[in-house]
Amino acid sequence: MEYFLQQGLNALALGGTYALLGLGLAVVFSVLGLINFAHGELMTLTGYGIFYTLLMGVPYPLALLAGVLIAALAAVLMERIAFRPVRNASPTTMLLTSFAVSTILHILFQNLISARPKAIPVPDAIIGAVSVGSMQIGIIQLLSIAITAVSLLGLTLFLKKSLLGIAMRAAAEDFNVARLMGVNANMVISTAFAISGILAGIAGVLWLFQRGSVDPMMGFLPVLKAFIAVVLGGLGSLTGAVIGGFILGIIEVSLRAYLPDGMLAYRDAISLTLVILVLFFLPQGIVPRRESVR
Amino acid sequence: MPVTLLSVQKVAVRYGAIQAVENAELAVAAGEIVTLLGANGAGKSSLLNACMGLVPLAGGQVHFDGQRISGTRTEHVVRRGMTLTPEGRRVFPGLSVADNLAIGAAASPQLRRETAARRTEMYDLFPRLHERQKQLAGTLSGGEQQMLAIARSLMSNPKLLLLDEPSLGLAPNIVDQIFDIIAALRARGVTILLVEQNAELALDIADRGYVLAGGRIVLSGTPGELRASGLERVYLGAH
Amino acid sequence: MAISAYIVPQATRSAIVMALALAVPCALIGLFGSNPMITTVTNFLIMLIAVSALGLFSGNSGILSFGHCAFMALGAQISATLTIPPALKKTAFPLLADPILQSQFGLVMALLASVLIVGLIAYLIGLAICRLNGSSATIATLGLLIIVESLIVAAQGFTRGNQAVYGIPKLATWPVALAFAIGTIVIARLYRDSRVGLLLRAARENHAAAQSIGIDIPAQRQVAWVASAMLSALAGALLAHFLTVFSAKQFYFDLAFAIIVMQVVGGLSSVAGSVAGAVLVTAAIEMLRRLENGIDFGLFQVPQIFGLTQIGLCLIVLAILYTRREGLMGFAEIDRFLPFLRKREELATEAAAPTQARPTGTLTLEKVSKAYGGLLAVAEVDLELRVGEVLGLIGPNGSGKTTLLGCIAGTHAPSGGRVRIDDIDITGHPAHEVARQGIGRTFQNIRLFAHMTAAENVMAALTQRWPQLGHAELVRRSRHLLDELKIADLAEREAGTLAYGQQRRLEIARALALEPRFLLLDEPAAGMNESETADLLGILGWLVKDRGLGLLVVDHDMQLIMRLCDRIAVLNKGQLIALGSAAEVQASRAVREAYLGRRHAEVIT
Repeated sequence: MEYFLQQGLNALALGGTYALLGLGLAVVFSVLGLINFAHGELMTLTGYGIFYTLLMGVPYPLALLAGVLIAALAAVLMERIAFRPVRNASPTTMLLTSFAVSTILHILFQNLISARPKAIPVPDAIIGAVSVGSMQIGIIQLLSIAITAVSLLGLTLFLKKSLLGIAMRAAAEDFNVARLMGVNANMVISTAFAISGILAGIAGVLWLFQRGSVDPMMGFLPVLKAFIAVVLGGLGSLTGAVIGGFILGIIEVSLRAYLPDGMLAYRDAISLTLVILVLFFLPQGIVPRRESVR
Repeated sequence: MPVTLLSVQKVAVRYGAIQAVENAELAVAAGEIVTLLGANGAGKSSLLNACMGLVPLAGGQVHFDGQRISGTRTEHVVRRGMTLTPEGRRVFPGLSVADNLAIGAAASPQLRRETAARRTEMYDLFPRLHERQKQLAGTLSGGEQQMLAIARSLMSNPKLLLLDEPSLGLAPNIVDQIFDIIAALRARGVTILLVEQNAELALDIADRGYVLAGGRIVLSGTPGELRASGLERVYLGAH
Repeated sequence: MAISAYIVPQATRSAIVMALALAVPCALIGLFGSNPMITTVTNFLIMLIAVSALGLFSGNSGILSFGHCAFMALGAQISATLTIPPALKKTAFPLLADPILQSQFGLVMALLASVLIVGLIAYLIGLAICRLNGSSATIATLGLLIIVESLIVAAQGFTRGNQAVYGIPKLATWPVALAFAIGTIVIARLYRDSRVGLLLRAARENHAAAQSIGIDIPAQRQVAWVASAMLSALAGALLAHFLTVFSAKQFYFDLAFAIIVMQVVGGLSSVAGSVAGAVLVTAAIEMLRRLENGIDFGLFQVPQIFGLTQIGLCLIVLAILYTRREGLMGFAEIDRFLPFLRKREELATEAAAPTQARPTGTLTLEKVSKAYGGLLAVAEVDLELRVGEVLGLIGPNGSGKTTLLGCIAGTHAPSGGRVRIDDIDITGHPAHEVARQGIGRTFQNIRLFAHMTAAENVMAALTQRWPQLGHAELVRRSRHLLDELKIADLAEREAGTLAYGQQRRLEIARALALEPRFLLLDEPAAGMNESETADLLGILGWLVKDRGLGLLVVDHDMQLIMRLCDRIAVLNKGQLIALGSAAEVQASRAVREAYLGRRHAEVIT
C-alpha cells in the first residue's frame, strides 16, 4: 500500500510535468493551429539560462526565475521571427517550420555551448524527504506537485477572469471574428507564446530538479511525449492536454514500478503503444473537440 | 446636409488572381440605413471586410468620419466607431454571453473601462441576453445568437454598424424580430450599412441602396428608384 | 474489377516519361561515371524510393508521416538479418532462433521477406493510425518512430541494439537501385490517378463530403499506408545493402526529416515533385557534407561545424515554406507542362444515358431521438419519405432539424428509435454506409473536393458506387451527369474556383452519381437571392419528376418550401408539431406562433 501511494505521488509529479508541457503546446495550438516542435528547446533554454545565471553568481531562486523568463522571451521571439511568416498556413507547413526551428536551435546549442551536459546543482534543502506517518515522501515530488497545481490554477484564473485571457479563448474559437471585434491579433498570439514559454520553463525547472544537468537534447524527448499526451487528451483541448499528461505520467510510473527488470528497456515502447491503442478506440482523444457537420 | 460617415472610393479587392471587388464607390451619411444588394459572389462581404481592414485593398481608399482608415488595422477602425456583425452570427460558442460582450469592447483602453456600463445598456436593449448572461453562447438559439452578435458589435459604441446578412439561416419569425431591432437601432441614432439577400426586406427598411454585380456597383438610388428601375430584376432576379 | 480503373492512360504515359527521364542520366553515370559519382547516384535512387513511398501516403492522404522512417529501419533490420553470413550472425545476434541463424538468403528473398513482414506490421498499426485525422495522425506516426527505435535498441541480442550492424553484403548496386526506383515512381504515379488514389485524395480534400459519397476513409488510408510502408521497407533494406554497416540511430529523426524535406521541397502532392525534391536535396546534402569538415579559404578558415548538413536542410525547407508553400510542383504532375501527355481519350460521341430503373422504397423514421447530456435535441420523431416525394423540414433555429438530418445521414448516432429503408435498418450506421444504402446529401456550407476538377469530383462518387467501371466509362458518365446539371463545360475546372451556383450544381451532380434513392438537402437556398433560388427550384423539381428521387429539404426560405414540397414537417424543440400539406401547415396556429411570424402568415404557393 505504501509503495503504491509513493508511486502514486511519483506519477502525479511526472504527470504534472507532462501536463505543463502539454498545456503549453495546447495553448499555442488552440490559438494558431501550430504544433510547436521547438517547445522542447524552450525547456532546454531554461536549463542553460539557469546554468549561466548561476555562473554569474545570481542567487538560486532568482536564477530559476530568470530561466523561466528566458523561455518566455524566447517563445515570443520565436513567434516573431520564425512563425509569423507561416501564420494561417496549413498545419503541415507550420509543423515543419517548427521542426526546422527546433533542429537549428539544438545544433546551435551543440556548437555554441557544448554537446556535453552542464551540471546544475540541486539545493540540499529540497533533496531530502519528509516522513508522513511511516511514509518517506521526496520533497522534490511534493514541490513538483505543488508547483504544477499553482500553475494550473493561475492559468485557469487568467483565462477565465482577465480580458486578455477571455480574448485568447475567443481567438482560439474564431480568430477572424476576434480580430473583427478589435482584439489585437499579435497581442493575443504573443501572449499565447509567452504563456507556453512560461509553462515550458516551469516544466524545465521541474525536469532539472530530477536530472541535475542540462544538455542540448534535454527538452527533446519529454516534449515528444507531451505531444502524444496532448493527442491522447484531445488535440485542441486545454483540459484534455492536462488529462493526457497525467495519464501518460501514470502509465510511465506504473511501468517503471511494476515491469520485470528484463522488460524495463521496453517501457517507452510499451507506454506509447498503450496510448496508440487507446486512440484506436477514441480517435478524437479523451476530450474531443466540438465539431459540427453542416 | 448630413455628414458623410463612410466613403468608399475606387476600392478594389483581389484574392490572388481573382478580382472580388473592382472600382467600388459608395457613401453612407450619418443617420441613414443603406443597403448593399447583390448575388452570391458579387463581392459584398469582400467589400465589408475591406472596409474593416480585414482584407487588404488592391486599390482605392476608404474614409470614415473624415479620416482615412484604409491601411490601418482593424482595431483602429473599431476604435474610430465602425464595427461589423459578420455573416452567420459567429458568436464565440464556448464563451459566456457576458464574455462575448466583453470581447466587443476590447478594442481600446477607454472602451474596456466602460465595459460594465455598456453591458448593462445592452441588457436593457436585449432582455433575453440579460437572462442568459452566464450561459455559453453556443447553447443559445439562432435568434438569440444573432441578438448577441449585434449586441457584441454595439459594445464598442459604433457610429456605423455594418450588418452582413443578419437574416441568414434564421426562421421567418426571428427574421421579423431582427429587422425590428434594426429599426430600433436607427431610432437610437446608429447608422447602418446592411448587406442582405432578402432584397424585399432590406428595401423596406432602407433609405438608399446599392446593387453590386461582378464586383462593381451597377446601380444606386432610393428603394423606390431601385424597384422602378427594373434592373433589380436583372441583377437580383425577382422573376 | 476493371483493371483500367487502376491503370489510367494519362498516368501511364506520365509515368513512362518520368521513368525515362530518370533512367537515361542515371544509366549514363552508372556506365561511364567515376566511383564517387556512382555512389552518389545510388544513394540518390534509394532516397528517391523512400520519398516516393512517403509521397504515396502523405501526398494523397494529406497526413505527414514520420513513421515511414520506422518502416525503413525495420526493412533494413530484417533484410540485414537474413543476408549476413551465419558465422557473423552468431556473434551479432546471439538470441535469434537457430533456423534464422544458420540460413543465409539472397537479395530477392530477403527483400521479399522484409517487404511482406513490414506490410503486415503496417497493417496492424494502420488500424489505429488511419483512424486519426490531421495533426493527431502525424503525432501518432511520431510515436511510431519512437516505439520502433526504442524496440530495436532494447531488443539487443535479436538486434544489435545501439551498436552497428555490420557485414551486410553489398547487394544494392546502381542497376538494382535504378530498377526499384523506376518501379516505385511508376507505382506511385499510377496509384495517384487510380480509383483508390482518387478516393483517398477526395478524403484529403473534404472529410465529411467524402463520407457522404460512401468513402470509408480509414480503409482508403489503410491501402496507401500499407503500400507505402512496404515501399519504405524496400528503401530501408536497399540502404542497408548499400551502406553494408548501419546502426539504429541512422534511421531516426534526421533521416525522417531529410525525407520529409525532399517531399516538401518537391511538392506536397506530386510524384514528379518527389523526384525533383530528391535530386535537389541530395545535391544540397552532398555539398554541405563537404563543407561540414571545415574549409580552408586560404586567408581564413571555416572551422568544422557539427550538424551543418542539418542546418542546411532546415534553411532550405524554411525558404520553401516561406516563399512557396506547396513546394516546387505543388499538386501538379509533369502532365501540366507536357500537353502531349494530356491527349483526350477517345470517347463515345453520343453519351447515352446509363439506363437506370426508377428508384423504389420508403425511408422510415420511427421514434428517432437524440439526446446531448440531459438535453433532448430530437424527441421521438416519426416520419416517412417515399421516392418521388418532396418532404420539407422546417422549424425554428435549434429545433433539431440539422440533428435529425444527421441522424439519418449517419453523422450523428440516434440515442433512440430506428431509421430504415424498407426493411433495411440503417440506425446508427456510419455516414459512408448510409450513403451506400442510397441516401445522398448536400451540405449547408457547400463541401466540394476543392483541388480536384469538377469531373474528378463526380468520378470519385461514381467509382465509389461502381468499382467495376473502367476509367473511360467513368469519364463518360461524369460528363453525362455534369451535362444534366448544365455544367459540362466546366468539367476540367478546379471545383474550388467555380461560382456559388455552379458549386451547388456540382454538389448535386456528385450526389446523383451515387444513384441515390433519397437526397437530403440542408438549407440549399441559404444565402441565395431570388433568381438563384428559382434556378435551384428548377433543378430540385427535375430531380423528383424525371429522376424519381425522394427529397428531404431543410430550409428557411418559405417560398421554396411552399412551392416545392408535397408535405411539410415542422419541428419545434425537437418535437414534430405539424405534418401536412403547405396549406395545412400554414393554417396551424402552433406553427405560426413557433415559426412563421407575421410576414409569412399568408404566403401562398
